[in-house]
Amino acid sequence: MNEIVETKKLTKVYGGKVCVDGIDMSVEKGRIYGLLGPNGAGKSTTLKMLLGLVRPNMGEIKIFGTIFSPKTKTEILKDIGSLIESPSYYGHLTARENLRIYTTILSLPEKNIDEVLRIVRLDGQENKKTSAYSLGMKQRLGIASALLSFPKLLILDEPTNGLDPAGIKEIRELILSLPKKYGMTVIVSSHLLSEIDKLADDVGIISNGRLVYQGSLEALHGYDSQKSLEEIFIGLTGGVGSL
Amino acid sequence: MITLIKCELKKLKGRYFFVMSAVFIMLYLAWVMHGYDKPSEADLKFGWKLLLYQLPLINTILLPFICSVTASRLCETEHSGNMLKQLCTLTSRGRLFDAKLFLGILSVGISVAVMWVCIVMLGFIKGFWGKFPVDLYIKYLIFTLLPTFEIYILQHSLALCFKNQSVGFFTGIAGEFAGVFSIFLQNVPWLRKLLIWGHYGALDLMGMYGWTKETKFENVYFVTYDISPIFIIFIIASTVLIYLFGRYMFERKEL
Ligand SMILES: Nc1ncnc2c1ncn2[C@@H]1O[C@H](COP(=O)(O)OP(=O)(O)OP(=O)(O)O)[C@@H](O)[C@H]1O
Ligand SMILES: [Mg+2]
Repeated sequence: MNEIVETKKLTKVYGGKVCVDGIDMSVEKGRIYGLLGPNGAGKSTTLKMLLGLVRPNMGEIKIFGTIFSPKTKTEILKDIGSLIESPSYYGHLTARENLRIYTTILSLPEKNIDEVLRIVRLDGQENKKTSAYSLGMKQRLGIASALLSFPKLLILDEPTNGLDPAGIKEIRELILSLPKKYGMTVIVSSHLLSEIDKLADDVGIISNGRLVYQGSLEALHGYDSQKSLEEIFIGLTGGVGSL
Repeated sequence: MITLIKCELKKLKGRYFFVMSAVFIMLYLAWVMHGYDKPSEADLKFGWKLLLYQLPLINTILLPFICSVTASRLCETEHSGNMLKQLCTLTSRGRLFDAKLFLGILSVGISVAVMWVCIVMLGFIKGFWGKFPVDLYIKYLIFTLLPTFEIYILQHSLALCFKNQSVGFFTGIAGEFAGVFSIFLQNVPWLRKLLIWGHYGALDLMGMYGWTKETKFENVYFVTYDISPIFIIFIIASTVLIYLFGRYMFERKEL
């Protein structure tokens, strides 16, 4: 079994508008899968369905070879770490106290907290209330909580939101190291082609809720030898959205 | 479940939750006791019964408010920090709902019990005449807790399901007004029974008759009401229904 995530005809309709339209997505073990698409394409909605936060109207999700259902959900989610859209935190608690909520629920050792705080470089700031954190620091805390259990599958929705260029590079290097170091599979979404180009092994391009391309990054580069990656992307997504 | 309750306790740090509960208890007691500052002879003579007659109205005014603020206080941090989408992937939603509810129920339950003890002490300290009617007061305690739990579960569901806390707050305030209203509408007793906020009044144990502006307590007599067991079963059933519905809504909520 090499497929960590597999979806079939995954569909979500919001108020009569099809926002995710029959997506057949396939993520292989140990790979970094970049989900690329312009704003409003349906990236976050797709990832939320993988996490059971949003119920699909149609379609099937298989994670770790098990079909995702209300019964199997809790078991599957134990092995997934996630950061979706804005980071989550209790503003009145410090970073360490925040992470301790997770370790208590998941019965993880305290040393995981030290480790992830070091990884995201918040170890100097851990005793500050998170409401006093900057956007980038909150984002780092979000990544730290996603990493906390060193899960088999990591789902990161625009993880570099709000980070400065040095921070973006740092997080990129961190994500790149995860499959080798911990055997993780990572799904990263972004609306930035350049970001996915530097990060992903495989790419899924989503536009208006449809998966218009899925394959390895090399294959995308070779998709049309006459055109640059940027032109290929614009061609695939019909030119909408930012790059 | 125990783990989740522990987590809830950790989240309370620095939120002045217990201070808030203490303030509510003091507010309630101040309201009840100010009438007994300088008690008249009638106040002392009828003290135990008079209290049972007066308290359901005070409960209808104050307890739903306490429930709504307590529930909101416990749930708002989840919304303001986008925590639900994390928590719901860490553990089952049903258990999350229950753990938070447990803490809230415990908190309002203890508050009501403390209020009850203080009121009984008030009676003894002021020297109310006659024997302390233990069984009536125990009944009264149960009949105060039942609607409180019923209302709390509703407030908890609203506070957890709606990011916007004013949904719960305004439902609570509107219900409270309707509840007070239903108590004064003596000739439509079914209204009190149907409205959950009217249940304090519907579980009233003591009626006072013969009081007029001129004669005051001269011709007053009290009647103890019996509460039909069917109505109690109705309250318990509606509490369970509110719980099941709230939990179901939370489980279906999209984040
Ligand atoms: N709760 C909701 N109710 C109604 N429509 C929604 C809801 N959530 C998302 N949508 C719609 O679904 C579409 C896809 O949204 P989604 O958040 O998945 O986009 P995205 O690809 O993550 O975009 P971005 O790059 O801006 O984060 C949008 O048109 C959005 O308006
Ligand atoms: Mg998004």
